Amino acid sequence: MSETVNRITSQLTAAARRGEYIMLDVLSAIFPQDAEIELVFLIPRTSEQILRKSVFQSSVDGEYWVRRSLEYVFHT
Amino acid sequence: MADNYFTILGNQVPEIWFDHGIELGGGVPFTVGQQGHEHNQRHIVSTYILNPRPGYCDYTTFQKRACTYLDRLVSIMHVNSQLMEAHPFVRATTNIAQWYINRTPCLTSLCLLETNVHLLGDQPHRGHVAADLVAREEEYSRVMDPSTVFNYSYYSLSRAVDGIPATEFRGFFRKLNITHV
Repeated sequence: MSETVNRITSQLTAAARRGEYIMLDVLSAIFPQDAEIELVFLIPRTSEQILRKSVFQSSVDGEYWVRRSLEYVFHT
Repeated sequence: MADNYFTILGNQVPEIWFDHGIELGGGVPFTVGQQGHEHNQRHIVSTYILNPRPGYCDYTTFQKRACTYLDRLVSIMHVNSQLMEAHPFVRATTNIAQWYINRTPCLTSLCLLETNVHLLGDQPHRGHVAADLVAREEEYSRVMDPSTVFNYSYYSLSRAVDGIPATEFRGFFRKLNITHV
């Protein structure tokens, strides 16, 4: 299942620093529990290294976080 | 004014929320413009001014403001930790990491976007006395990069979740693409 929850438009910059994060807190219920949420990042090529080195995590309770992998990188 | 006043008294950093220009209560913010700025200064700054009402109180009565109150509260708590229980609304220690957390509600769905990305750069100087607050604010404003201010105003965090693909959120280093809309 794939559902567009919300579109985030943001520019990752080459000046990103360790420890910086962007968190999306979805307040509506997501059914079924094993539903997938896909995040698509459109970034300039100069920011690709930042994306590759970023850690992706999700959580349903804000305490226990599951690490997610960056699956695909497409180039235009 | 009230938010700033009690935030300062609590020795806390005010939470910054970016909105989408939708006013909740209507009307103009209380502290907007030069008049609002001066109003804020009167209540926050630790200046000593004469009581303006002759006859009501003697002329030697001084009015202390939020910063002065805060400095006094914190200094008392450092001397005697038991007094912290008497002033539970004041935080003697501050988690610096929380200073840079910004939040915005999404416009088109039920979600909240939060980030600790620095939006206004590093603060050049951090003082130890609340009474210097306004002086440091003016100093910071002088050295701030104009493009940083531009991004903060027109490519704010709420731009990332406004449902419009053409707009975007930019951090404070986006100097190169600043004309790209």
